[in-house]
Amino acid sequence: MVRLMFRVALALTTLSPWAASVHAQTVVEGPEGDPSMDDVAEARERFTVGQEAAGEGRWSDALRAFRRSYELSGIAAALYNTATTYRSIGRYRLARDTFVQLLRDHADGDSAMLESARSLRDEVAARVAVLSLHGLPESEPVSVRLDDRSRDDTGDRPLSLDVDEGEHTVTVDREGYLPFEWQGAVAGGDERRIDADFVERPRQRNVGRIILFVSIGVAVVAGGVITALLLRDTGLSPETNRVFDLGDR
Amino acid sequence: MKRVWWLALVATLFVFGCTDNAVLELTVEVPAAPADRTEPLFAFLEVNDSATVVDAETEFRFPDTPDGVQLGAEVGDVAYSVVASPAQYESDVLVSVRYCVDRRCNGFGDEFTDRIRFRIERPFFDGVRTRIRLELGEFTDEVSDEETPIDQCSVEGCGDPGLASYCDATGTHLCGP
Repeated sequence: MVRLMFRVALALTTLSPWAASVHAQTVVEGPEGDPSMDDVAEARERFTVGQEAAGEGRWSDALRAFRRSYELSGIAAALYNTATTYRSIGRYRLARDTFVQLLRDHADGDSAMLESARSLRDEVAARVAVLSLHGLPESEPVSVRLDDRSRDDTGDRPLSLDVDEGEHTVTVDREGYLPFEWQGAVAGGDERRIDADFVERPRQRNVGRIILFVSIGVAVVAGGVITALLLRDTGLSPETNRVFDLGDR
Repeated sequence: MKRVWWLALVATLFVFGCTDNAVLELTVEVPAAPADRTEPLFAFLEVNDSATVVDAETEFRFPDTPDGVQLGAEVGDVAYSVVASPAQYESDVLVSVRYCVDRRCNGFGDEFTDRIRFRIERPFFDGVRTRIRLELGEFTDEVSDEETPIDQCSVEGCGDPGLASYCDATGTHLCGP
């Protein structure tokens, strides 16, 4: 692996850059057209910063640096290191998609790097879990959120959601129905069936609805004012009595 | 209609409720005391923000540090709270643990004990309570000089407990930039 990192670093400094094409599974977009020499120089600098950060275990810094390096240059080595960094922090779905992008957009790249990318893609793909959403309406798009982030409703039924291992929350909003929510834990490689059970939203008269909205609104704003004033006075309180107050020093 | 009320709430909170601190709830798993040890042994934890460190001597010299915790017969968790003001939001948190015969590491020979060091990358976000768990491993007299880095993506906050990472696809923490 060290030899490979060296080789891809060498490639970054010697190969001519090229732009990455943009397809559906593009995790990091490369530049449009050929990058300028200034961009390549900055990309090289970001790549070095990323390598140093990765060597020290500062993965978020490494990830930002490698992504930026690829955005500027479109060089395969930066995308490879982005993928391996996702793998290192357990974001297997993104790691898999990045390896797929690399193999698709840089098929004529360094053979050792591509061989390694294929092997790692297969490894991380085996650790991605799938949530299979059943019971969604066939001809009506729904709003799907996974861990509070929107996911596209592709129209496939059942709808499959790729996720990393761990705890997840799926929420489906459908016009005229109460939101459906599922929470649970999945392990890498699991395929979990989720049956969405929608309950029709109760109908109300308009006047009653207006009164309800106004009442809720007044209560929410009043609650917000009280909460805000409390927060303003005290801020967050520590949960323990073993307190280090850095601000007081 | 609902959106209007939510906007009103957000605006109200924005006007009245700007918090000006952040809290890192720090759980430390301390080891069991060695079986052949007859006198008490304490785990003394010190914390600082990286921006105020001048040199190794001043790194952890602060008077408000809580007393050390005596090692028991079994591994145990000890909870600490690290409170920060906006001046510390861009800093890393440095954590040091020493095993001493005195609960404040003022005992005979305690000045020669080595520090187990951690550096937690920028764990503070305004108005947010974050969490991290540090494991010290088994007790040993031979402590590595190397600092253990804790990546910001490992700092729990703004997401469900138990996530593999608390950063989004761009490497940005879920709590903010």
